[in-house]
Parts: sequence; structure tokens; C-alpha cells
Amino acid sequence: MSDNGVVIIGCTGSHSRMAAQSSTLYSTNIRHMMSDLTPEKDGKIVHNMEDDVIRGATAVFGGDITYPPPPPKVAAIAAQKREKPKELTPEEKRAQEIAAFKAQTKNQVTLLAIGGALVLGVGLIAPASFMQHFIVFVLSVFIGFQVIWNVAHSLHTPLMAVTNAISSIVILGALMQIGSSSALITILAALGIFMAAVNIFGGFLVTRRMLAMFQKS
Amino acid sequence: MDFGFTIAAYAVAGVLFILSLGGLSGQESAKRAVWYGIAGMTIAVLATLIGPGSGLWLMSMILIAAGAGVGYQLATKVQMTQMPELVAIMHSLVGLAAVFVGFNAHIELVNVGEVLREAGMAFPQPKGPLAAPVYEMLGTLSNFAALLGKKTAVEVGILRVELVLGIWIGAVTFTGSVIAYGKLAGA
Repeated sequence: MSDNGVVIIGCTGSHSRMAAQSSTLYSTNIRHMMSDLTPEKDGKIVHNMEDDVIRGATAVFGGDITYPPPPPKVAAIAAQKREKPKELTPEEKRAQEIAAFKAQTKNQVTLLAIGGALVLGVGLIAPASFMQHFIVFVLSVFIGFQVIWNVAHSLHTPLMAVTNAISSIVILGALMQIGSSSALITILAALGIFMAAVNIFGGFLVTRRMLAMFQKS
Repeated sequence: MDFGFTIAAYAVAGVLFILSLGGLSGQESAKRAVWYGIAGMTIAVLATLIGPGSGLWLMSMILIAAGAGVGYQLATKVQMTQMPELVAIMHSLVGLAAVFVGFNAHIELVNVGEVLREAGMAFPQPKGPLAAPVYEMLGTLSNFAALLGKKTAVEVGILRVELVLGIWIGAVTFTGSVIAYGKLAGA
């Protein structure tokens, strides 16, 4: 606590660390300079006068005095000012919003039309029993898209874990197959059940552990 | 229990899975969402175990329990910083399981075809209701085999396409996850 009541958080006596700190910074600089000078990493110095850093650090080169160096090229890039976005009047804003909405609607309708036409096209060729599977597939894709879109960004890691756990639903296939008369099928199905079970329990537990970290502190 | 009940249970599980994923839109609802997922998975597995089509349920239970033990050990013992690796390696297991399921379905399909043809019956089945002797024959096979044996030529074709896709996607998941694990573990 200092005199005016402001709390300063940091290590005490930071001046005593300055020497070591500046040495480290300086040596890092020198090291990078060295690696710039020897691009082939074979100890041979390639004095590239096109390089901003090397040109700036050169005072004499090839018998000529090259000091002072020209201003670095990077500054020229930084100097370009960004144009300020224009302040929009409420009417303009409104018009823009309406235009964006219309464009979005058009996009969505086009996508729906294409998707619908594709599904109908498949329906013309494929038999009914396939269409039952296919409808489930289309709906799950759609729901998955809508649902995942709304997931909070901070929760994407738990989302990976929980989708991983849910993907273990493949255990149902293995459960159906394990009673088979063939030994090979039984062994493979048993392995499948075991691996999927590891994933179910591991996946949900991992998700819970991750979410516990989001607890309000 | 007949198939209607199992399929109804799958529908409930599906709704729970959707709620589980949708709940991740907020940090508070996310905690509830995990439980929806767990409930959905429990319902789906139980419905399969008590429904028709499953066999060796005792062995299945033992395997699930063993998997649960391994999964619990992994999930609770691993350091928080190694979570992404753990998720990656577990995901590879699912991919491998999907590949095995696909292989099994193919092997069973071939087996059923042989059994039926040896008995002088047609396979794949012609359209329309099953002939009585075929029905009896299928009754002697395992549930999964009986399910496959009832399929018509078109249905077998669709199943083959689904199997190819399933095995292919499972294999991609497996290799991709293993490589992701290797990269995350710094190997």
C-alpha cells in the first residue's frame, strides 16, 4: 500500500533485477542479429544491405561510410492511415439493415431450394427403406448445425468432449452383434463395446471436469 | 420387448442428445446439459440390452463395466493440461469401434448368405412377405443375423453403401485422432 492508497502488485526491489534483465534482452537481440546475418546457419556472414535491420545497424560497408541509413521500409507501411468509417445517418443504417436481411433471406431460400431439390432427386431413385434412414440423416445434420451454431465460444472444448461421448452411440451396433454365432464377430463386437464404454464414461467425466472449472468464483 | 419400444427409447435418447448439445450455449445450462447426455446414453444402451436383437447381455454388462473402470481412471487421473490429448485418444477408440461394427456387419452378411443358400433358399430375399421356411430358418440364427437375412436385394445394396461409408469414416476418425494425439503429446 503506497501513500495515496493505491495497491501496487509486483515484486519488491525490481531495480535489483534490471541488470540481469537487460543483459538477457540485449543478448536475445544479438542472437537474432546473428541468425539474420547467417541465414544458412553455416557461420558465413551474408551482409544483406536490403535487410532493414542489417542496413540500419551498418555504419561502414565495403569501404564506404553508409551512415546514416535510410528510414526503414516498415515505417512506410505503418504510416498508411486507415480511413475512418463514415458515420451513418439512421436512415442509411436502416436501409443497410434491410438490404442485409434481404440478402440473408435470399441466401437461405437458395440453399433450401438446392437442398430440397437434392433430397427430392434422391427420393425419386432410392427405395422407401433407404429414404427412412436418409431423412433421419438429413434432420440430424440440420439439427446439429442449428444447435452447434449457438454454442458459446468458451465452451467449444467441452463441446468436443461431449460430442465425443455421444459418438460412442456406436456401442449399440456392437451390442446388437455380440450374440452372433461366429467367434470372430463376437470378439470384434466385444472389443467395440469395451472401447465405446471407455469413451462414454471417460467422455462425460472429462466434460464434467472441464465444466467444473467454469464455476463462479 | 419388441422393436417398437426400442425405437421409442432411441427417439427419447435422440431428443436428450439434442438438448445436451444445445445446452452448451451457456455456462449454467451446460452443467444440466451433461446430465441430459448421460441420461440419453443410459436409455439408449438399456433399451438395446433389454430389447430384441441383443445377445450375451451378461458379457456386454461386464465389458461395459470394464470400460467404465478404465474410462473413470483416465478421466479423473489425467492432468487438466492433458485433457485435449485424452479427448483425442478416446475419440480414436470410437473410430476403431465403428470400423469393427462395420466389419462385423459385412462378415455377418456373408455368413447369412452362405447359410441360406446352403439350405437352398434365396438370398437376398425377393420382395414381398417372407416365405415360411425362410422365416423358420432365420429363427435359428442369432438376432442380428436374422435381421440381415430378411433384407431384399435393394436393402442389401443400401446396407453395403452404408457399411463402406461407416468403415471409411470410422477409419478416418481413428487415424486422424491418433495423429492428433501424437501431435498434442509432442511426439
